[in-house]
Amino acid sequence: MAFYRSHVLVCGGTGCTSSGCQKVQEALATSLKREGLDKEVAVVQTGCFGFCRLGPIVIVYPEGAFYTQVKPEDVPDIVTEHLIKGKLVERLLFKEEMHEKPVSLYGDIDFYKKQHRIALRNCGAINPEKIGEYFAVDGYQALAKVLHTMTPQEVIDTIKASGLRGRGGGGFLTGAKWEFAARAVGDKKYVVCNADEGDPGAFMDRSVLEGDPHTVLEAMAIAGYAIGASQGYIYVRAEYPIAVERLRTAIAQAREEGMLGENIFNKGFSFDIELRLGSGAFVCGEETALLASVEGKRGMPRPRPPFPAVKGLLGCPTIINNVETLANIPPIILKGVEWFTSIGTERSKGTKVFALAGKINNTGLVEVPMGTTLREIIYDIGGGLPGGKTFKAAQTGGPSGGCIPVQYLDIPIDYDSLAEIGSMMGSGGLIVMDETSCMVDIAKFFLEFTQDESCGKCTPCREGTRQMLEILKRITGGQGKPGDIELLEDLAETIKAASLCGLGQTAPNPVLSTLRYFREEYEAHINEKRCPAGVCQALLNYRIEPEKCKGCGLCAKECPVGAITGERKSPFVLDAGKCIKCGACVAKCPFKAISR
Amino acid sequence: MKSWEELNQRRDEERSKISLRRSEAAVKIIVGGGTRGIAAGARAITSTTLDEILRHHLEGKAVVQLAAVEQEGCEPLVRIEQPGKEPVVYQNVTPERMQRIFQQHVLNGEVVKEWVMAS
Amino acid sequence: MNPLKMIKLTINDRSVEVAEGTTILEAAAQAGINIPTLCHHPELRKEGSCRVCVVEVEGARSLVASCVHPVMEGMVVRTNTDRVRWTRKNIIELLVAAHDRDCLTCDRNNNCELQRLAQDYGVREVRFPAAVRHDPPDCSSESIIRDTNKCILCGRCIRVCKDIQGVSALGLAFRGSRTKVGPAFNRGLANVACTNCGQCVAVCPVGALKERSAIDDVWKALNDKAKHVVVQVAPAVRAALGEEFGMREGSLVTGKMVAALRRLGFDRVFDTQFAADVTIMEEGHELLHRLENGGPLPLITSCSPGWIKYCEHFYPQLLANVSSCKSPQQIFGALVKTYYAENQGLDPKSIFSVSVMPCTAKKFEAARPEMARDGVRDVDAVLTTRELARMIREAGLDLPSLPEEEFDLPMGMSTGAGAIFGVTGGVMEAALRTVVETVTGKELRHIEFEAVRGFNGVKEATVAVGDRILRAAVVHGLANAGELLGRFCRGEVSYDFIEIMACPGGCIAGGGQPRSCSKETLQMRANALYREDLGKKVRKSHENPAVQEVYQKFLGKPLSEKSHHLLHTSYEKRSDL
Repeated sequence: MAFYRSHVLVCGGTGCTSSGCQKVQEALATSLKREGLDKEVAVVQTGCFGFCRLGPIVIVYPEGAFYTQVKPEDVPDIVTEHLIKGKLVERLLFKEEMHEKPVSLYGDIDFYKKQHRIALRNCGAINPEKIGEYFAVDGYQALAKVLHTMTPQEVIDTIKASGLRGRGGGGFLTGAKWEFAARAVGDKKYVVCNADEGDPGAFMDRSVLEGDPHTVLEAMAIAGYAIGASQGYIYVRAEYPIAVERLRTAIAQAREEGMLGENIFNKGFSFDIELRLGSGAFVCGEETALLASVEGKRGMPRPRPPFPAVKGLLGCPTIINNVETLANIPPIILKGVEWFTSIGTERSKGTKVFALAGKINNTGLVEVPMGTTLREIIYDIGGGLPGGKTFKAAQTGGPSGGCIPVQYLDIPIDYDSLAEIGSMMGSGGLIVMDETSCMVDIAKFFLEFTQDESCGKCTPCREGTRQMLEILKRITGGQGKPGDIELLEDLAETIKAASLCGLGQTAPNPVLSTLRYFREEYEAHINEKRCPAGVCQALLNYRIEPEKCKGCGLCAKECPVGAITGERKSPFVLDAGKCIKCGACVAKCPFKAISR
Repeated sequence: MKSWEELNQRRDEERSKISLRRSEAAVKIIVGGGTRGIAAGARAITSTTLDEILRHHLEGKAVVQLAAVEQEGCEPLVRIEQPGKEPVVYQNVTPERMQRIFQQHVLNGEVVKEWVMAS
Repeated sequence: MNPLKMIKLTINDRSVEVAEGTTILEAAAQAGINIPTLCHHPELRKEGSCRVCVVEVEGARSLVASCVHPVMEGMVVRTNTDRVRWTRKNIIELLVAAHDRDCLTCDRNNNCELQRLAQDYGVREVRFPAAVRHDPPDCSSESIIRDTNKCILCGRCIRVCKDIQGVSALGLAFRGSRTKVGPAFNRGLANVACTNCGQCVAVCPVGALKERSAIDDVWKALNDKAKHVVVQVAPAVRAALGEEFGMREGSLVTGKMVAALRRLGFDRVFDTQFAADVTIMEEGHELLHRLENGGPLPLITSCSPGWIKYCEHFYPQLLANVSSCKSPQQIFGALVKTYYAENQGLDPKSIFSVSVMPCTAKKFEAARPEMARDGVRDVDAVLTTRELARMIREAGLDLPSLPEEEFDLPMGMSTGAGAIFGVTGGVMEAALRTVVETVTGKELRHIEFEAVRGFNGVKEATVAVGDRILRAAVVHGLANAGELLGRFCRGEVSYDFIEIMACPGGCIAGGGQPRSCSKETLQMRANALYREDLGKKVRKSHENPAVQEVYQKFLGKPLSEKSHHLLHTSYEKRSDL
């Protein structure tokens, strides 16, 4: 057996794969071999570190040096300077936005310091393709504990007492779900993992699957024991090829090690897991649609009751848990209810992973205790907004959620507080918007998404969202009419009240919440034909302000349609009739003399 | 695997392989690298240390780290850190000396006074 | 679920007690409260998709679809609040906005469920831009025309095709507002495994599905002095046609129908039941022949063209089991253009042969290339019951007030056995009456074979035929048929004789019949046919004097070379997609 003095961890998540981590890893292997260090230094491919903006990310242990945006040509420096001479490669070290000096060590970075990682505990820390590394971090200990020392009811009681709520959107109590399925009568029962992550921008489930697939398998086996199921399915989207591959590997290894299969730990409990690949229909995240898809039917929701816990997959009692939810199960079993309930708020226990996106410096994945404020997430962890722009709103909950305006920056975020202010936790997408974001346009974006992704089954969702979208298109296109806001509200109420599934019932939320907090923007679009954020092209009127124009002529040179004319050194003039509102002149003007 | 004991055994084995990522080691052996250290033979010291760790089955308990600490004329340097104890720095270490330092200091907790760098 | 357990709930402040498992919609109906529906259909799987039937349930976050939501103890339901009415109206308005609103020229004008709802809920303006698709209609099929621009995506056609018929020719494609109903790969109905049974047409609430009409062709022939136009009418038509004229369900209008046809201008009004009797002669002897010569058994009936096409698509390995005998419509057609033409001294080419059928699949059957000789089709045009009703209205006739008239002879003479062809089990019963007597040479004392009557999906009977026990099965609805044949192919069951009807209930529930959804209506139509049987002087096919005459003068005997040539056919394997 070899002993490695150093481990070089290379992120192998989807984000870093796109930015070229594979090449970096190959360069490392070659370079180490060339220097004769391949027996001393191990290269380890891990899952996502969450700091996706700066990928590919490389961490060198034992120091914990955090290198960002590493390119293959940086590898020789890492090897000869750091690994041979012991000198950190300063230029590659992460530099905190607010601080002068680079922060060398992983644990010192603000982005990580304020996080509390439970679901993501192993992401970026272990090699997801080696079950051994999962064993090393107490992997399958929870399953062993459950099978050796707990009755199924005790498992359910533990999960119930932990207060864990579903992380996929609904926030239903996980333990209660398990209990329903445990009590339901059925020859067969099933555990289904919902890995059909679909909210725009959200990728926490993918990260867990890529970085720590065994934790999902272990949790599913525990769930199977609790409800009396011997078969599990993971419904994962085919657009996650790395996650699918890692899951395949993990399932094979778990079977080989006896963590899945017949008579696990000789305790008379058998459980196995199969993958089912979905092709990325958003609605398949809805439980009953997911089950239909697993059964090979068109992914469409069906009315409830009967609930899946009573009549689910193939008519049998079934629990469906989301990936992040499951990733919480083994730690709860091992560390106990008291530990878990000490984290979070009164009615939302534990942590939540958020995917930071939009106008924020540190885009990526963060896991924070429930009750953390939006301000802490955006400013302390997310590093604030780039370019000194002002925070306008944050969108949470994806297409089912809503916008949180600036006055709520300091409310502690949990399931209930978000619902109260007209948004929702959803799966944890968090999109930050600044003053250059048009709220009507944002609402239109989400409506376009739901309309595209509506399964088309029920009338309110299929036809209602289409008509809402038409109205929003009209408003942003400068054709808004008095009464449009009322019509939107009328439709929104119908869709909320009468749609068949959660997708439809929540589809109007982005419109309703922007109407609630930014009604005046809608009114400006409709009544004044003006987009305050300067986004809606049809409403923009480019004009050169003569008092600011110095007559340099740069704008005229830049204009692709020759709409700007003038004599040098005197104010230029823009012909609105020719202008195509491309914005090229504004970007070019050194004097900010062009308004829109 | 068919028992919890087996699983625990596996966990301990595997944990020793990744302990250096978890700052769990009982002893940290820092070899002075840098340009001068390397020239003076720091790499051989590193290899010897790794061999010793393996020989005494201390994987998971000991960590070897290179550091760019330099002191003219004293290379190669080796610094031994143990929780709760003052760190000790040895100078002009050779592979043979390293073996003794390992035996005497790391395993038996007795500082090899003659090679300790004068401060 | 315990059907004996009673649940108490309140609907609109009235206390209601219903069995566990009842839906709110059903409970409300029992309490005399009507809730509007669109996607709901009593004979189909519950879908809950249109949301027109929403009601308020105390404590529920949103409104609930009453057609799928089961009642619960202590539930408080309100079906007529402002919120409910306003939501329903909005939903109807949304559907109307997405619907081709050319009502005046629509097949379903005045008979459209969406139109009626829009009327009931006072949808007087549509506040949204029209969101209608502009797809060309699918006219590929001989039987059915599909217009997606009128489709409201209720999914009834999909459910009947998949669940009741086991065919799945229709499904949903695309998502969001682009969602549409159609065959796989956007093919035409003619190019997929559609059986043309028309059950989709029968359940469509709007004008998205209709039969390919032959009315114009028939008027044209009737107006052509050079044409000798004969018409045959299938048994099930007379048991349902009255409904189109406001008559009680189950009214048997045979005589009035004959009178109407004569007034429309048909030169001869004949009865398909005559051909049904001939069918029994041929098929009965085919059964005996197979029993004596080692099969292949079971012999499976061939009267239902929907079933025949189903077999060609999904069970081609059983085509050898299907009787080679043509259906009564085609036997009739063949005899009209040969036997009758010879008798009357007419050139077969001058005869225009029309059939009135409860069936859309008959249109496809009549157009099969093998159903013609020298380019002369056995049957030139097929009308459904609904089309005949329209022609009668067009001609200004009031069916209920017409006198009762008799069919023309000789091909209007039929037996009770022929009449019951129109209901599930009827062909079996008619065949047994003849086969048993033929084998034993003795008159049956009791000719009603009760075991094969009724609406159970699969009926089985063992009948002594001389010294042999005949194992018989009767199925209706193609999903039931597929299920039974699957069991047969796996060797789990064996039979000597199987009757299969494509439509659930038999021809009385055919895709060309007046649209109705209730089992009660079907029962009354069936009763009407059994009444016709009872009222006949002759009730066994082989005793039909006109049939005996055909054999004497023309065909010789059953299974003769001539009858093989004229009255038998062959089948082809087709793709199951």
